[in-house]
Amino acid sequence: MIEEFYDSGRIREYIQRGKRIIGTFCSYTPEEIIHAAGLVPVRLFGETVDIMNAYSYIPNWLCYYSKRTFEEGLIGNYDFLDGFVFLTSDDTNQLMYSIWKKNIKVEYSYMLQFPFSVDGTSKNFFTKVLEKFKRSLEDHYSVDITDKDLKDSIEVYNRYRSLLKELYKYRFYTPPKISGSDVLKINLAGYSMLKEEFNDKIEEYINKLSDEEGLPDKPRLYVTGIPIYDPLVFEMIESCGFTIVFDDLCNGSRNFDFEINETISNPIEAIAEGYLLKPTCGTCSRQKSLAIDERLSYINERLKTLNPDGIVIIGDKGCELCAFSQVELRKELAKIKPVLYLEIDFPLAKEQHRTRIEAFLESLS
Amino acid sequence: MQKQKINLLGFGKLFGPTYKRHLERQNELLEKKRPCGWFFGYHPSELNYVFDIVNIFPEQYSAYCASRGDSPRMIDDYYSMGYGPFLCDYFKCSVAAIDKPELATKPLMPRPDFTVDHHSICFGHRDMAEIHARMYGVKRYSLAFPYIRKEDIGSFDDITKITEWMDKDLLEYTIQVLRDFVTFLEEVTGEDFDDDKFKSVMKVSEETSRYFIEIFKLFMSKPTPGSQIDLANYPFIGFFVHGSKYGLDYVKNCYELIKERVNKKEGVVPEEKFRLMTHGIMPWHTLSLYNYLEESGATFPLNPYAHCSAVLHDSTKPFESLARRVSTFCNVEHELMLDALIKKAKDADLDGAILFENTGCRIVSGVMRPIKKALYEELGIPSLIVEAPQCDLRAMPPERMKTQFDAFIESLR
Repeated sequence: MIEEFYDSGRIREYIQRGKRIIGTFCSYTPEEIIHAAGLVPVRLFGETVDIMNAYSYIPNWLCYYSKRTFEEGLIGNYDFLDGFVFLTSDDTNQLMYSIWKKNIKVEYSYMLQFPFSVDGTSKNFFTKVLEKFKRSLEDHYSVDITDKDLKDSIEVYNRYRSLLKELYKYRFYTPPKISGSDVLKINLAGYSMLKEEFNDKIEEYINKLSDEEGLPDKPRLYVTGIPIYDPLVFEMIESCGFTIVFDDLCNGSRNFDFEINETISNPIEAIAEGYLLKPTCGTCSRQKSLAIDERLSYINERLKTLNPDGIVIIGDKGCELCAFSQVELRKELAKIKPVLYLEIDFPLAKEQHRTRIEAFLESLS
Repeated sequence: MQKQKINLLGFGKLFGPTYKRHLERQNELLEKKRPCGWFFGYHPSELNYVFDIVNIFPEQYSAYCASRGDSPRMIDDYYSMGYGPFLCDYFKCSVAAIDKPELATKPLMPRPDFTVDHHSICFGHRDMAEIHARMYGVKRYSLAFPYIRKEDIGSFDDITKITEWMDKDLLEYTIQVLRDFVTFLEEVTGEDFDDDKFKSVMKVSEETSRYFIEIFKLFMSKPTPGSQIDLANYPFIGFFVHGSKYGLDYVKNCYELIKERVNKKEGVVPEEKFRLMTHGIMPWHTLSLYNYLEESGATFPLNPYAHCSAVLHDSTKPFESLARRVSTFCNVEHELMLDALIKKAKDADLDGAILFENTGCRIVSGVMRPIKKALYEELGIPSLIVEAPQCDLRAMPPERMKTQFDAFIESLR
């Protein structure tokens, strides 16, 4: 069933239909605006494992995601891109925008200013930033993005988010109806599809899923951490005898566990507010609170409902947000549940990780 | 190779009394139980002088630990806390100073009542302020300053930071962020903002900025009048205590020294053989590395890292002027930075560049390869990139660095 989500020719098909493809890198990217311009926003994964060229341009200790996506750009695997959009959401993104702009030739590139503090001043500014972004797309692609276009896109994306939330619920069953790896695969497939098409497909899939029998009952894990664009990581964890019942990765629940308020009359303002208030990865927080505390509060709420047997934090030495916060997260979460911290890079040191995961499993019993 | 005698300008000797005045102010305010904040480079330091805040700088403290040789054992403690290798050395040292004060260089930083983060130089500052605040259980205030893109300013001058234009929304937003911060400081101190005092501090700041600019221009003279050791304290003044009277006195006195040296057409060494640019956070543990090169006749008329200390102020528009300074130019879109840097490299008549890649600092390290490429493509100037974390000499022992320097200098002959 999962395979039907995969279609490597889909992006080419969009291009044949006259669509232009815009690459994105961060879950704070307000794809609704790109979508409303009639473009196809596609999250870039960085599937290449061997970095042969990128280190001539960037330090080798940056996060795996920035290295792999850039390598793919350099070797021409993203020749389908018409443009790309970055956000100032961390130092690596800021740096990589300049590096991409200089070295990966596309028709359109844009850097969105992201204010990382949530308050009235930031919201007003971010609204203006998004208005400028809209105008930039209109100018470059000679299109008018009307309020109706934006509202329609918001509706499509709200449905997308709500369906993913629905899909995640099938992992909560005892036993779960779907594995974490399969959910990740579906999730990833959605990143390169027009969301209206994905929504129809996933709705159909969810309907079928409700009649499915449960999976074998296994110890349940909550996974948090960096973005994972390679199903191999989840497959490795689950093959050791766990079921991942929830993940709040950047490309997991943090990507969809919010909605844009459709009752706000100015759709750009609604988008600005929605993205500023979405679950944080550590980039953003309310003025008088700490991002780590906001993250902990989000995780704790879900731990109460899901009651997993353990928590796995997936880290990356090169990811600054993760590297700064992981010590405090580990310390606090270990007070609630057993925690395993897995620091990954690619090629994945699978056997070493498996040994640790298996030891973690043993420790739980 | 015959070593030449280095004739320092003597900025270092002037710094001792300056720093003493800074510490006296701190102690005086601490005794009066004034609020204590921890700040990072390029914060709106002038406001601390308006509100009489005790201003503490974890980065400067960490550099101090490195210069005293204490940073390696502090960094070991940092690793034992569970952190990884690819974060800023300033974080490594400051977090260790909180965790194991007994290992840290004395005097320690006073406990903060609040920490302040901002985006001026890097996002890492935000994370550091957050961890520091969490370790002490105090408030963290975020100054969400914007990142500067080409379309926001067009272009800028590497020394004065005068821009071609500045996006109106960006400027208004930054001013509002500063005004919100004033409200926070009013809450913290329980005192109203003193507008007159602000104007007077900004006058000091403007005067300071004018001296900075003149000094950096004079530094580019032929022969190079001073050593990088002379400039080593500039980030302290420019990044942390801009707006203080002692900061102004320091740069004023420095200006007199350099003016005299340039008028006499004297150089830092008797025979200048190569004129180099250096960029990147200085290796605080072994600043004598600059001397090693200078003794061989390789001087440094241009240091864009030190130039970050200078931004021309206009005290007639105090908030706007402050907003322009904190919209920092240390971290901007590369295209902008490279344009500004190439212009200055031409003016400085360079032969080469030595670039310090500070492992863990994405901002500095990420721009080194583009600088190397641009210098070579635009001006035919070769560069050496040296991996050199600013507080941990174990990552690149100075003797190994010297071997690389020797080979590079040899290639310039």
